[in-house]
Amino acid sequence: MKRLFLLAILIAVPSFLFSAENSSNIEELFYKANQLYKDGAYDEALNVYSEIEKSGYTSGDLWYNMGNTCYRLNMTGHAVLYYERAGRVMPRNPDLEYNLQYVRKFVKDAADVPSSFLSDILFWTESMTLNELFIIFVIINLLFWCALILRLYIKKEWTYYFPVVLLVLWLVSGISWAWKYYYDATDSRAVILSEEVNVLSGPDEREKLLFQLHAGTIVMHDQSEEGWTLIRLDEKRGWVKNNDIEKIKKNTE
Amino acid sequence: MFADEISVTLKLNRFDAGISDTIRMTVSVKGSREADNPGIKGLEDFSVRSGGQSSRVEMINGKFSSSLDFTYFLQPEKEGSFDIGPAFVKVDGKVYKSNTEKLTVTKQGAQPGKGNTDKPVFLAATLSSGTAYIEEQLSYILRLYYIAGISNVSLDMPEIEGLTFKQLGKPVEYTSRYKSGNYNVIEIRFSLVPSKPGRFEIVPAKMGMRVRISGDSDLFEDFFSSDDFFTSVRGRSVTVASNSPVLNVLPVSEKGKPADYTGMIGRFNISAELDPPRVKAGESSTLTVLIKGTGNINRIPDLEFPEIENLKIYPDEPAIETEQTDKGLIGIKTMKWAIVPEKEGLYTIPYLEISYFDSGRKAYLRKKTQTFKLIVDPGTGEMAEPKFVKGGSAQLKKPVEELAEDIFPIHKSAVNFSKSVSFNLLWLLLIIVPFFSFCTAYVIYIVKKPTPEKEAKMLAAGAAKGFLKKCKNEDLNADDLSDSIRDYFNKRFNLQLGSIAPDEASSILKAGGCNQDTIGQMEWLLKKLETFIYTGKGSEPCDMHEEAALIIKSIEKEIK
Repeated sequence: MKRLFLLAILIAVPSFLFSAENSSNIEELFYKANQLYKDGAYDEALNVYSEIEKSGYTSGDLWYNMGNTCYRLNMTGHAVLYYERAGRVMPRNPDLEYNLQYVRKFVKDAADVPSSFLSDILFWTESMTLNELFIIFVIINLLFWCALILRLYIKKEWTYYFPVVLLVLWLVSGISWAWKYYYDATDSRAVILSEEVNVLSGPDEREKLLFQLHAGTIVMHDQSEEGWTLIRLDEKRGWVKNNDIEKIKKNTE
Repeated sequence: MFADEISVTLKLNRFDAGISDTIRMTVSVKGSREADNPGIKGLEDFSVRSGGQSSRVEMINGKFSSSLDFTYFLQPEKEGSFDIGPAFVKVDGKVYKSNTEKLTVTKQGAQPGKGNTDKPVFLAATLSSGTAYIEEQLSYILRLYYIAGISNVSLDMPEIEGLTFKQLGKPVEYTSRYKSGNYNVIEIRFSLVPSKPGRFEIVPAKMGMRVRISGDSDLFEDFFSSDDFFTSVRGRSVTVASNSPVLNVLPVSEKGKPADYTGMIGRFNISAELDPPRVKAGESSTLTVLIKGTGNINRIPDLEFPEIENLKIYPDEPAIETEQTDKGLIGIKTMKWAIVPEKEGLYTIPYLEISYFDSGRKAYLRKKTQTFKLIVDPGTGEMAEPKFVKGGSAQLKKPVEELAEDIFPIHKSAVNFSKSVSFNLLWLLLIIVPFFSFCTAYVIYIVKKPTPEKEAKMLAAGAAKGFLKKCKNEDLNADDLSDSIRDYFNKRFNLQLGSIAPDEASSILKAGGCNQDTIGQMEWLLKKLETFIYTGKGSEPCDMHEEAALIIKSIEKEIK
């Protein structure tokens, strides 16, 4: 038994150290990028920030800073993309809210992503992250089942009403979390990155031009094939080149 | 913290008096607790007696305020109209001046009108004028004359459509000579504003009170009235009604009505001040206009400042202050304009005027401010924010103007750099562990819960134990023993019998596999108990508990 325990420590410690070392490097890179930003070297700052993102380490602050950097580089589409990404992780950050609203002023297309019926009902899920909703659900779930166990052995009035109240909370928190999970998992919003994008009737340059979109406009990503992406905006649909658009939700998420 | 502004006020407790009346005069010094004795003008025709001085400290809105009152009693020496004051008070080497009050002294003083004025208590109502214009402010004065002790005074004012009464200040008390007798007087002043024309006979005001008149009680009443147990308030309840003065209300004359007349009626004054009179271009100067007067002050219009080339005009919110005085409602309307010249030069600030109907002169009057010269020197080229001097009551507020917009800066530190974590086994465990814990607890609960058969066995096992416990009681009577045997059978054999007969017991025991001897003993016991019960000895000790215990023990041994 002791040997097994030692083996577990031997396996766990290096992986922890490796992880801590990596995290430390990432933070160094982050501060370096911040310094570059401060010095006005926005291109280089964006490169360093992107390097961190590619390494798989992410954070709301990283995307927020990338949004700022892109705005300084007049890359409105990218700024909106990164702010929206940051918004998934830190939805109640006031700086982020302000900057996103501010950058949206430079978006030329008047197009809003329609909200769904469930989104309107479960409005609070918009300002909470999946993790936060999950923690709330886990706590209520634990309390609910404990209250039921208590009810088995203590037949008092309060042991009847306590689980009933918790059942309501359990359902609300469970549905909220499930909805957020579904919404995040199926989030197909994408941002137009290029200054002006031709939306064609098919995945070919020779296809008919249906309409044009501009940097920062958020559309729905339907499918991708051979370098082309089928997008949807209200009732309109069409094809754009893959490099003109990027999904807000990263594939690795 | 002491309020440091010092002011001196002179007050009389009445404005008309008889030659033999005494008038109380108070000189109040606010803002100081020490001052030299005041010097007061206008007292040449009065005999003056000092009533002493008093000081007090109050806390108003978190600030301490101190004041010093000098009281005097004035005895007029001749009839006439007198200006009392101003009073001059020296505080810390500096002399402060008070206001002036007007006092009219007649032979009789304020006399009650027609009515029951020969009674020891009567109420008199007087109007400052029998004729008034619509919206003109009049005085309606109620005076209660009494020579007896009174208490619990209440007032019922008349309610007349088209006439509005408003009490002015607190009631004042003094003594007055009337019909060769000295009366105590309570005087209450009201402002009266008519709102429609016509002849109004003001219905009597009524005052209720308790009156104690000497010689008006008998020995019996005196004896008991001295004891609070028999009467809580001494004297009689009396209600007195005033006379009914008549008021004729006239509409304001249309003849000579100015085009800008806004309905102001009363007496008003207008004054203005320009501060500073010399500024640089782009700087702000303030024109302050004050309209002060008695009358319908709510009709004072918001004056408009004319446009002047190269002057930017910013009006402030007008402010109205009203004060209830013994003479009526006094109002002050303050209007301010911030004037910002764009270029240097000499500018003429024109006069502003008001028109009103002077009820005393029965004519329309116009009053205007003076004109001002605003000298403007060359400025820096920048326009200043308009601002009002002397801390205007309502400062001009300007919406915050956004000069530029930009994003918020980058975040210097990142919270929780992490690799994206997807839903994993740990998440699932956190959710399902409490559920399985409940399932386990439920299973344990079900397993441990006894079945009906088990429950019956447990009951049966306890039946004999319970019975034997009861049998230890030596005083057990036949009724109790019979009931105990029935309970034993019910529990032991899972029955629900109301009572048990010897035959029933035999067949149950036989079915249970007991010996014939034991069955016979039980039969004998039950029959014996029946005999006790039916012969009226059921409640007496039967001394059979030992036999019963032995039989039950035998049953327990033999039963299968």
